[in-house]
Amino acid sequence: MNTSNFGLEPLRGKASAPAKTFILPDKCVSKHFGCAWGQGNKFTIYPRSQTVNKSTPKALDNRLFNVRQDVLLFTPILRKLVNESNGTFLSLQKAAEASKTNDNQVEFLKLSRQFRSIIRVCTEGLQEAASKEEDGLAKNSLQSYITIFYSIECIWHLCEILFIDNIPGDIVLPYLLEWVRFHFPCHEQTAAGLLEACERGSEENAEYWDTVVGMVVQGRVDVARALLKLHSAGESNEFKLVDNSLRSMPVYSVYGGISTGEFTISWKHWQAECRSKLSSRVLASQPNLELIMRIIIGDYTAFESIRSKYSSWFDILGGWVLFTAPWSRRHELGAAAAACAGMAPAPRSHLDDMVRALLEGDLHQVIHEVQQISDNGWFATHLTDILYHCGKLKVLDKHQTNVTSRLRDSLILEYGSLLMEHKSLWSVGLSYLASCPPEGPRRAELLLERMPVETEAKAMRVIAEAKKHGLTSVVSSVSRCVCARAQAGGRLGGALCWAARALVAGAARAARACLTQYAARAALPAQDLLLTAGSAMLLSDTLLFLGKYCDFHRLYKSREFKKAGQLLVSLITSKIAPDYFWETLLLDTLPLLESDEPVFTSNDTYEIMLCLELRSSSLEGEKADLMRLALARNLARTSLAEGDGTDEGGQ
Amino acid sequence: MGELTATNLFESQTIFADHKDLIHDVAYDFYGERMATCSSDQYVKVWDSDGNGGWRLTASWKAHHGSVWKVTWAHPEFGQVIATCSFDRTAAIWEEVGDTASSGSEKGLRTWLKRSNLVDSRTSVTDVKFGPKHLGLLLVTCSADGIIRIYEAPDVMNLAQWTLQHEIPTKVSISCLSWNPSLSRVTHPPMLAVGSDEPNTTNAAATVQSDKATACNGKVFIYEYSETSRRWTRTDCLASVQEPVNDLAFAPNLGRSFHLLAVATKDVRIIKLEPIAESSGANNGAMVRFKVEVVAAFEEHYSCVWRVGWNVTGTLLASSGDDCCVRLWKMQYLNQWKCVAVFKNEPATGDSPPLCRPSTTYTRLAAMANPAHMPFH
Repeated sequence: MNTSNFGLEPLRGKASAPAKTFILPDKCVSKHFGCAWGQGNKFTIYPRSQTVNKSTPKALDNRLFNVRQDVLLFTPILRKLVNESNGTFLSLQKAAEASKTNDNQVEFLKLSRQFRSIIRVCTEGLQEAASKEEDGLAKNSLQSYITIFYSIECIWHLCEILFIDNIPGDIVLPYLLEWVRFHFPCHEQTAAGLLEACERGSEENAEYWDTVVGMVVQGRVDVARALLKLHSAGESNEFKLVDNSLRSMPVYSVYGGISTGEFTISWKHWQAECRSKLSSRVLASQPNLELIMRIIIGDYTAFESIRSKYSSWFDILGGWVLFTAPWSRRHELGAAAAACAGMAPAPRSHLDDMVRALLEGDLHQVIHEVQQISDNGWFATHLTDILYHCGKLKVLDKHQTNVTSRLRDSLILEYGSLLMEHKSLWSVGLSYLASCPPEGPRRAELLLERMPVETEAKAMRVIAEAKKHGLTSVVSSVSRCVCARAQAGGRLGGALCWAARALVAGAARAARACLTQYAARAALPAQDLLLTAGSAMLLSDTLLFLGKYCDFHRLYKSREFKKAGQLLVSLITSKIAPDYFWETLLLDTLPLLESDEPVFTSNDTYEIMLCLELRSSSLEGEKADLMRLALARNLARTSLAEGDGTDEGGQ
Repeated sequence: MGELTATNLFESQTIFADHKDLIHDVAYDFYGERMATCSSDQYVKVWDSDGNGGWRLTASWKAHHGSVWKVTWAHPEFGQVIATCSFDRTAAIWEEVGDTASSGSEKGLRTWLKRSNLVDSRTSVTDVKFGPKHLGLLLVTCSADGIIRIYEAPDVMNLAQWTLQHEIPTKVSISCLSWNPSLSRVTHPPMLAVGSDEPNTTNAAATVQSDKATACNGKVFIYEYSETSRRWTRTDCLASVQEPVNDLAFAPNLGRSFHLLAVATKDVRIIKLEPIAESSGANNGAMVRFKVEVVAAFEEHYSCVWRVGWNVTGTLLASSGDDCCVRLWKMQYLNQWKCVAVFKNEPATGDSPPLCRPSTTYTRLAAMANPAHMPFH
């Protein structure tokens, strides 16, 4: 962990630490590797050799290693966290949009609390699962998740106090105390137990003095006083003296009607009084009371002496600020943090670094540290986003240009891309990517069109999501692929249907396949679709032809021979029919030519005859002769009938 | 207490490939659901994901009469199609027949038919790649004698018919090529990058005598297609890459105005190519097509780098080198590149490797003990 150049190290994600090294399993003997990327963060490492000698090496290594990132967020129990935080994230984007016109700080605070409650619900869920879990290994990992999300909530809360909340007068102390009490509850239960029992002589309890001191350090002066009263010597002068000092401690309130200046004077006066009581040595016989007095005058050595009783310095931070500088504003906490952290030479934990950086107001460093939490960027993304929208984040690169939005975008893109890998969280990921133009939608395109579509339903879902975010290229790409697959599988109707959806040239291919199949086996697929396809028919000539031809079949079946005949003639004369279909088309005229009622006019018959002669190669001799005969007979009878008709018309 | 900062955990799964000789290439299909491997044993194998993280061998056939160097998948829009290239001087197009939609688990082995055999090359065909799908069904091959050939299937329904559209002689041995995947045909004409593995000594002489017009000792060449002249022309030669090139790959474009090209040479390079507007391109009489900038050069492999590959979104670059390591590189938000993970071969400890069966379980990879990483809490 890099701490040496604290605050100076420019944010580079995990850059400060050297990259982790992983060992391939199974004692792979090969010296050379190749690598190939699959979907998302999956890739394959394979042994390879560059030498092209013919002699096969003895120990031939023939194993592939599929490597993928272990993603904590894909654990089923954390699904709810991902889904719910997505909702809050999206509301935040809306709120941010609205705040361009008016100040929306209250809304941001509300959303920040919402995030925290989501984390807390998640932690509770994890705790419950951990308590039920029997398997040691699984329990262990659940425990580590709890640690992770617990720390996240703790940091988020502090962030909220320091950067998101609107604190009256900027006096942070009450909020800080609340934070300490909430996240580092210590002695609370003992205190409650002692108070409930309400027995004199409570000092019998081994933790009595620790509890009293703890309450003082947490700023719960009233509780401490109540506990002191339970001491068997509670009525003695020494106890009364301490009680009096605690009672008379001035408490600042913005709405209290006094200015900070006045408050500072009365506070200093009170502490001077306490100090004089202490130096009068009246408490010499009661070292514990003396300790309390030393704490409330803000004596560094007193705090140092109790530091070892707590697991971290956060516990005493509230007390230290309370008894040294209760008027501290948000940005003045750095020194207090340094003082508290310096009290014991404990090894620095990651949480320490984050809290220190926060109290020093170095958000850049905070995000740097937060990125190292193994929550796959959940926290870093959402925290950065909310701080960015609150206008609290300013990140400058070495040329002093503001790169805050780039930092935020890169985190959101990374997080969104990660979720896209999951087989059911992908639509959540998509909403993150879509909220981050211009690169987000481009990435979404690449990832979404590579979404495996095993079923038609999945394909429809992918297309619906793509349409929602305006990714038209994905709609056509997915449709084309499903179309190609349906066609390869011989489901021509389906292929046609998807081709129409794709609104692309692929339709021509599918239509042609349909016609070829019909010419060979005589069964026209997807008739209902073709009859209702509407403007989609205009995509290609072949499809248009197929649609018209289908319509001919419908008319023929419903015995509207006149109309069917007209359509057929127009299909023949328009000459858009593909070569391989001429035979079918010409032979279709036969039954109409042979019908009792003449269907084709003499002109139509001429046209058909002309086409037959022009395309004589597409019909075999025998069939052509049959056609010629039928045409001639039809011509004869229609000429007669038409002759009659004109005569009648003339009369 | 659990670790708070155990980032970048990886897990791995071992597949026993069962090739009788060295594997030369592994390629995933568009969805990452199918995997093709090729080897010196002249076989190509296709593996299908079973949906639960496991891989099943669904096809295995002798594809060539020589080592198969590369295998690559066509866009699924054109069906289930792969192309291979080989030491036997040919490239081949293979198509899977039968219903590919039905899940592989209830069926046995699949059938792949050789649809076409491209025999134009007189030397070993070193690389083969399908073009970006918006250009139609295009295939480019390159060979050891330095000829780039671009084939087109005019009828995508008929994979037996490929016409040789362009033949571009480069006069140097070509080892690898990459299509620029940019979808914007308006702003970016079709573009290819090719890399040469010609050793330096002979190349210098060859270039000077044969190619005076474009005298350049670089090993990476950029070719672009001009709609007006209907020709592919060399528009740039990257002078910054002087050592033999083993692999190169364009990153997905993501709507950017510039292109990123990763090059595997004596180190891992990432090169930014920014097209210069036509008007300002004139420089000393010769047109300068790109503003070329080496954005990163990683020496960490301390040796020759053999392969480079981008992930789908172009945010991670994997490279493998002679140091028995695979490294992952990631671009941070300020466009700096950092190594984020190293995968290392465990030093051989003498005992024979245990026999491995294909397994569907992923096991977490052990991180190397590193004093810089103290566990927290």
